Amino acid sequence: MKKICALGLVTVFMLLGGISLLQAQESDFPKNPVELIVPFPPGGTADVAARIVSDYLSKELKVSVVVVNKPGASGSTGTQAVAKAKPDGYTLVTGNAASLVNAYLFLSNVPYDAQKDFVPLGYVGESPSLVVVLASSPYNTLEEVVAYAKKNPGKVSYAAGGGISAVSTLNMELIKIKTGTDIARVIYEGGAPALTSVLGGHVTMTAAGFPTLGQHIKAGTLRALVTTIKVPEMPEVRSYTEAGFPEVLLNWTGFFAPAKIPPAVNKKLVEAFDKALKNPEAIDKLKKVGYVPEIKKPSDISELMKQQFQLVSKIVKDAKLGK
Amino acid sequence: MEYGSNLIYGLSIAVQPANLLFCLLGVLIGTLVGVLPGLGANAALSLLLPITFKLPPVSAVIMLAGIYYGASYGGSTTSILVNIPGEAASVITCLDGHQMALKGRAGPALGIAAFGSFIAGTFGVIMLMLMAPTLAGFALKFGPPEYCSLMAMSLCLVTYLAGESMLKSLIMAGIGLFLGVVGMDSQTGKVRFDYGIPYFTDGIPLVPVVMGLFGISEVLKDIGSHERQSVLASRIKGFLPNLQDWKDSAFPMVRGSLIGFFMGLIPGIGLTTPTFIAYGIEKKISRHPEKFGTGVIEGVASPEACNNATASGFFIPLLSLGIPGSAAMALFLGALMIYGLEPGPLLIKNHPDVFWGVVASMYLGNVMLLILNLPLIPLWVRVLKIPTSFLFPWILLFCIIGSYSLNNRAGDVVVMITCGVIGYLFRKFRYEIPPLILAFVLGPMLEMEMRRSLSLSRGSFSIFFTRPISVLFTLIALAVLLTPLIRKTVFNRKP
Amino acid sequence: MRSDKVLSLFWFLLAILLMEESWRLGAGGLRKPGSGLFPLLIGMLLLIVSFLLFLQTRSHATADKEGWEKVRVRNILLCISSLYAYILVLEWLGFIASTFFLILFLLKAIEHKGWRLAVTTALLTAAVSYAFFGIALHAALPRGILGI
Repeated sequence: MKKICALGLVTVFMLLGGISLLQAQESDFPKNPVELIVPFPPGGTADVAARIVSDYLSKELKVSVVVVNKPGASGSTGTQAVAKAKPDGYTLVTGNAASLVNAYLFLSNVPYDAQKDFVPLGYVGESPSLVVVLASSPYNTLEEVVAYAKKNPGKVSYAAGGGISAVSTLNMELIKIKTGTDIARVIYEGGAPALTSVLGGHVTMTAAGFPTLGQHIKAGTLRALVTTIKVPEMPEVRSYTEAGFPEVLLNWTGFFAPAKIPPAVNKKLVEAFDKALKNPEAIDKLKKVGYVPEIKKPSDISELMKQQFQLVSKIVKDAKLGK
Repeated sequence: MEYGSNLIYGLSIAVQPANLLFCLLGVLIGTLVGVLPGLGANAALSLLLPITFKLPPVSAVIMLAGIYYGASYGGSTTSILVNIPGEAASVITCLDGHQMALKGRAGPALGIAAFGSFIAGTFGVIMLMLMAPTLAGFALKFGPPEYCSLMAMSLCLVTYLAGESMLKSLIMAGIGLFLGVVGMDSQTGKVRFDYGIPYFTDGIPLVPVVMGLFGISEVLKDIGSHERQSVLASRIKGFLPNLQDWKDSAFPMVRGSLIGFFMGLIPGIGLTTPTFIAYGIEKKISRHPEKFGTGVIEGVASPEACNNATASGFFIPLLSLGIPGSAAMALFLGALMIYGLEPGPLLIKNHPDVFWGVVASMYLGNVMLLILNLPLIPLWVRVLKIPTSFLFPWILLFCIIGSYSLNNRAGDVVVMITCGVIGYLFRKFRYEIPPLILAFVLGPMLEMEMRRSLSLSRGSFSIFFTRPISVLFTLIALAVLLTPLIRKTVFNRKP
Repeated sequence: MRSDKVLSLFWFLLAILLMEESWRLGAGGLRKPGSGLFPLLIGMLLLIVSFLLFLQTRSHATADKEGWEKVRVRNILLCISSLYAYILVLEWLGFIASTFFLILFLLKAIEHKGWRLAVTTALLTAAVSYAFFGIALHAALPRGILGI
């Protein structure tokens, strides 16, 4: 009796083995949910874009696209996780200037190569980065803050959302160097935690993306001092250039996959992202949160990254900012 | 009080038959997954999230709530039955819960865990109802110095967890802090203490460590001893808490709920820390502190209530600031954002129905959990009757699967096994493990907030003493740390 | 306890190593806290506490010793080695085969069950756990060279 049981079980095994062999086929990608990693906390600029796009992407791919936050070290923790992930197309990452370009200039160790370890899939566009203070604070312009900081070194502070290589952080540091002020820098993983720091009155100001700050500015809790790109709904907010700081860096967001994904999967993903990003509803939603949507081909995205790196390197070197 | 009517509205949606079904399903699946060691609420939610996408939004959130509560309770179940924490937050339940099981009182332990969770959940909802807007403001007051001193205070409570030797517990805390430091430094990108091994760049993951130190070491202890711990030898005394149990648990549950709820308000506090603090305080206040760790029901009632109350407290920072208190909450946040609802101070104002719908569904999950799991208690308890000789290979296997499935990394399993060996040695040499875990969890946060505070204050420590909330925590921390010392030297009480 | 004494010295050495490495990382000073600051503080804590612990072991009488005589070391070592072996071969042999061998080994070598019982249990365990975790729960369990 027991021998028959054993035989039966072995047969079951063979069957199971056979079934599992059948399951391994890449031509019908995707058949499981896709993970879109955002290497920043929820609510930040990159995160908002990812959530909007993932919705339309899942409609194109016909599987659910789940946004997973993996914050840390200016986005390099989450980005590295994807660089090392299985290149089967089920793990993607949201990339931006902080994690893929600036990181090399500020972090002591970036464990991935933005050009070699990733292939670009889609591009969202640029988003404005604004400096804000609490509505109840006495400052009305950036110059006032700078003036106060000059007279009281170390008293003024800002929350650096997105880590030390974020575009907003860079812009603030450039201002500090240009005006020679001592403003304390308090580092946060992303725009959203930085925001709460300002709301709680623990820092004087923060520089973060419009997608994160937008509704608070509109609600009147925060006052915007300057912006990188002019915001159509709020024309009265001056740009950095108008305030006397023409050298300013812009934040962009895109989507990437591990470099070694099969070409067929790559093609499918690029097409799906293209359709999702061209969807008028998606464009509308992105515009609403402050993005300036732009369509770029993968090759253009790589080109952009290379150009950006050269540009930022020069700025950082001239200002003697880097590591 | 219009909150009442909104809550009723929320509940009315939640109790529709279809939604009730989803809730039930969620709780059932959640419990099953949660019972498996290492696969706690987070794993359950990530595994099952894709299923919920196919449902209409409200039903999806309701099912998520069911899964969440089911998994939390499942985690407590393994803690009590086999001394393996289902997730980090269940670690404390192992301490007394398992001891109770060994004495044949697994039933009452499981029962109090379920009831305690339910009562705490009810308390949480009422608190939310009465104080939601005020509480959001409270959450904001926590800046870097407040967090830092709170963490330091929590860490000092390590001394309350100290079994026999406070010094040994401090060593364990130190080791825990060190383990938390391994990996990439979030602020500078430098990788610390990896000694060239790529695995350590991401840091040491929590779950394998906890499972190893508790679970694997427990199995090793068992197979290594001559007298096999047969749980079936002890008669199973009852399946539900008796009157005495209720009397003993009443105040602990209240205390646990209060501690849990208010700590849950602090953005990003996590689930583990409040339970440790609740246990620590319970032990300190108790008339028989030396009995903690041998199977007192207060040691189960308080942390379990705390756990649940913390989850309720999480709603405030989640919905008003967009900061999730745990990975599970992050998934809820994601769900909300998919429906175009940005968290923020405006959410409670503009969409009170959403807020209350979510809260109501969470509560419903809580209720379902109780209804579903109470009848299952006798079944769970019978699991203990399986001979250890078969049980232990299965336990080991489930632990391995649990830790492997986290990130599909073999390295995690190696960490777990190694921690099993280390945990076993710690036990042999009489070093307490909970302080290590608390330090491991708190360390990274403590460091981050400390650095931020020092950046803010330009290097001056006075910042911890000049802000009211921070002063409070710092003073408590110092008091906790120094009282045993003062007692020894000045009053010469304990040698 | 002698072990306590030895261990306290061990912690002391560990603390020194820790502080050394922290210094190398760069403590940065209080104004601009660097990567090494916190580890340095941890090292200092361990240093002080381990020293105090050492002092304590000298003044205390030996507490009741739970020695190694009563421990079945063989069982523990077998168990640990089998677990390490399991994870080593897991990705090579695949989940089902590895699990089968693990359970078989544990049941035979440590629990001394009979061959028939051990084999059957091992088969059942491997099959059921694969069905439950791999298929029902979609956990990604590795497939080895045998394809299973």
